[in-house]
Amino acid sequence: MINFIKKIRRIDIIALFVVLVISIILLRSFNLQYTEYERYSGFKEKIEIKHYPIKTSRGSIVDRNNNILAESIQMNSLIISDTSSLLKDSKTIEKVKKLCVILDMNFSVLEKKLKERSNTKYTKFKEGRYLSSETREKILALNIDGVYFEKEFQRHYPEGEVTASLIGMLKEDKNVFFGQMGLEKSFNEMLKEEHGEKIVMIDKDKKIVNQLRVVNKQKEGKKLTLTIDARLQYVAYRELKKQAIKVNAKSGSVVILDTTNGDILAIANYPSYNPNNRRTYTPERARNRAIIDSLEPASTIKPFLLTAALHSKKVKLKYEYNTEPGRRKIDGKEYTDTTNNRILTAQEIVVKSSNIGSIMMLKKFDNKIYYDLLEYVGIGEIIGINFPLEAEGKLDHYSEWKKLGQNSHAIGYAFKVSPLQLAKAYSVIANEGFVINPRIEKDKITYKNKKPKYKNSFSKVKNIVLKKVVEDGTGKKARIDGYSVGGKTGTGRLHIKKEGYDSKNHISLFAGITPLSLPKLVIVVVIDQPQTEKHGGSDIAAPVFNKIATDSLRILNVSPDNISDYQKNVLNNIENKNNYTLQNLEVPYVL
Amino acid sequence: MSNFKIYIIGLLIVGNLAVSLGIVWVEHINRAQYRKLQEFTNQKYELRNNWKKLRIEEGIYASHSRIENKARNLLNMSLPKKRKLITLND
Repeated sequence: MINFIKKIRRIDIIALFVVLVISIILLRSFNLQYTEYERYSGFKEKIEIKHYPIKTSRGSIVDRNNNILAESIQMNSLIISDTSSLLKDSKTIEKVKKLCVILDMNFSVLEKKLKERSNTKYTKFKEGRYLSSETREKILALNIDGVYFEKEFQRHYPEGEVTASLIGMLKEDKNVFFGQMGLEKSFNEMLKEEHGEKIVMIDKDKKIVNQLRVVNKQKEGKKLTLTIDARLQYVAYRELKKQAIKVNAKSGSVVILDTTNGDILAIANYPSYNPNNRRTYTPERARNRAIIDSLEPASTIKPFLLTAALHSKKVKLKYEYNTEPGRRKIDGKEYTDTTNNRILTAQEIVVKSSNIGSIMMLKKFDNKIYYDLLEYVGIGEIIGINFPLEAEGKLDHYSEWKKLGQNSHAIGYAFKVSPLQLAKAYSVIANEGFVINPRIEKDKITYKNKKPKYKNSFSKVKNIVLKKVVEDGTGKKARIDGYSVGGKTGTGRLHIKKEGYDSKNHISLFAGITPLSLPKLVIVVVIDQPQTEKHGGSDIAAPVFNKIATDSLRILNVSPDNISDYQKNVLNNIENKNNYTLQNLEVPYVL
Repeated sequence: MSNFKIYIIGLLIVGNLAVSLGIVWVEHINRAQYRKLQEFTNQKYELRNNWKKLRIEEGIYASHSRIENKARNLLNMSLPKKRKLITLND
C-alpha cells in the first residue's frame, strides 16, 4: 500500500483531480437536464424569459399637402395589477390619494372602482388612460406597488369637425382598434397596425438584457394620402355651416372637385361632430351626405337635357317654345314655372329654369339619347372612391320612363344622384365630354376616357348657356369678380316616403364651374330644408358657391380670366409707368 | 507521461478556462450592448412620438379656424369688401 502511494506522482493527482471535476460537471449537468428539468425550466421561464409585445402605430391620414388629418400618438395607460393591494394599509391609501390628485379624480370614485374590481389582476380605468410622459413620471415617483404603465396609441384628428364625416373614427374592441366609419373604415386594411411579439431575457431589475427571438414581427400601418386640400375643406365647411345656421337648414353638403384630374379637393357636411370628443357623436352628425345620400337633382339636370337635345340635332339653342301662362297641365299633371316666362328659346329654358319648357323640349327628341347621356356622365352608377355605403343613385332604363313619368325626368325628378355624382357629371361639362372619375386617394390612377363624346353640345352648354345662367339668369349670386363662372341652380321638393312631395320643405342646390375659360373647379352646394321664405337654389346655395369659389381660387392661385374694364385700365396705367413706386399703385377704390 | 503531454494538458486546461471566461465576458458585452440598443430604440420611438405630437400641435396652431379667429378678434382684421378689391393678372 505504502509502495503504491509512493508510486503516485504529482501528475497522477492532477489527472485524478481533473477527472473528478469533469465527472462532477457531467453529473450536475445530467442532474439539471433530466432529474430536475421540470423544476428549473419552469422557474427560468417565469423569472427570466418573457414574451414581450412590440407595439406599433396605425397609419396616419394626410391631405394632399401632407397636413395631418389623423395621427396616432403613443401615450401611457395606467395598469393596476392587484386592486386589493392598493387599499391594504393607510400608507398606501395616502399614496393613492396623491395619485388621484395627479389624475384629477375623486378618491371615492377610484376607491369604488377598485372595490368593484377587487382581486382583479389587470385593470384599467378611463381617467388613467392616455397619460403624458410627465404625468407618468409623477405617478412612478409615488412608488405604489402594483401600479405600472402600458404603452397605448391615441388617435388624434387635428381638423376636428371639419373633416369628421369624411375621415370617420375608430372603435375599440378588446384592446384592438379598427375603423368604425368613414375612410378609417374603408381603408382599415391599409391603415391598421399589427403588433409584434418577442421573447426576451429580463434581469432582476426587470430590464430587458437580451432578445432571444422574435415570435411575430410588428407591422406599422401605411400612410394614406388623400386628394383633399385641408385649406379648401375648411373654407367649404365654414361657409356651409354659416349658411346652414343662417337659414336654419336641417343639413347640407359641399363637394369641390378638380376638373383637371378628378381629385376631390373637399367634401364638407353639416351638421358634424368632433371626433376627438366622442360625446359629440350622433349617427346623424356622422353621416357623409355628399357621398352616401341620394337626392333628386331638380333643375341642376337641365343642362344635361339641353346637351342631349342639341346632340339629337332636333333642337337648336335659338328654337322657341311657348311656356305661357307659366302653369300648364301636361299628360294629366300640372307643372309650374316660377313666373310666366312666355316665349323662351331652348337656351333661355335653362337660363330661366323653366319646367314647362324643359318638358316640351324632351318631347322633341328620343328619350334614349337623354338616357345615354345621363348614363355617360355617371348618373345611377357608383363612383367607387372606396367609401362605406357610397350611394349608387338611381336611373331607370328609358323604356320604363313612360310608366314612371317621362316628364319628371325632364325636370330632374324620378332619378337620384349623390352630390358627388352631380359634381362628377358637371366635371364632364367642364371637360367638354371627357369623363374623369373622381378619386380620394392621391396616388390612385383614375379612369379617363380617351375620346370625348357629345363634345360640341357640351361646349355650347358650358360656354354659352351656363355662363348666361350666372350672368343674367337664376345664378346671379354665384358671380365672382375676376373669374368667369358657369352654373345652374336647383330647387327640389323634398320627397317623403308614402306621403309624396312636401310643398313646404325644399332642397336648394347649386352646381358651378369656374373659371370657364380653363376649368379648374366644380363646386356643388346642397342645403337641405332651409326654413326661410326664399328657399330657392339661387338665394340659398348660389351665395355659398360664390364665397367658397372666391376663397378656393385665391388659395389655389388660379389666374383670373375675367378682369373687368376698370381693372384692365388700372393694369394699363401701372404698366405705362416705368418708374412707378408703391404710391403709384394706390388707385381710388371706386368702381 | 512525458513532459510534452503534461504541457499540452496544462495548456488545454488554461485554454478551457480562458474560453469559459471569454464566453462569460462576451455574453456580458452582448447584454450591455443590447441594453444600449434598447435605450436607443426607445429614444428613437420617443423622438418620433414627439415629432408626431409637434406636427399635430403645429396643425392645431396653424388651423384655419384658429388663425381666422385670431385675425378677426385679436387684430381686428376683416375681409375687404368686393368694391375695394383690385384683381391683378400675373
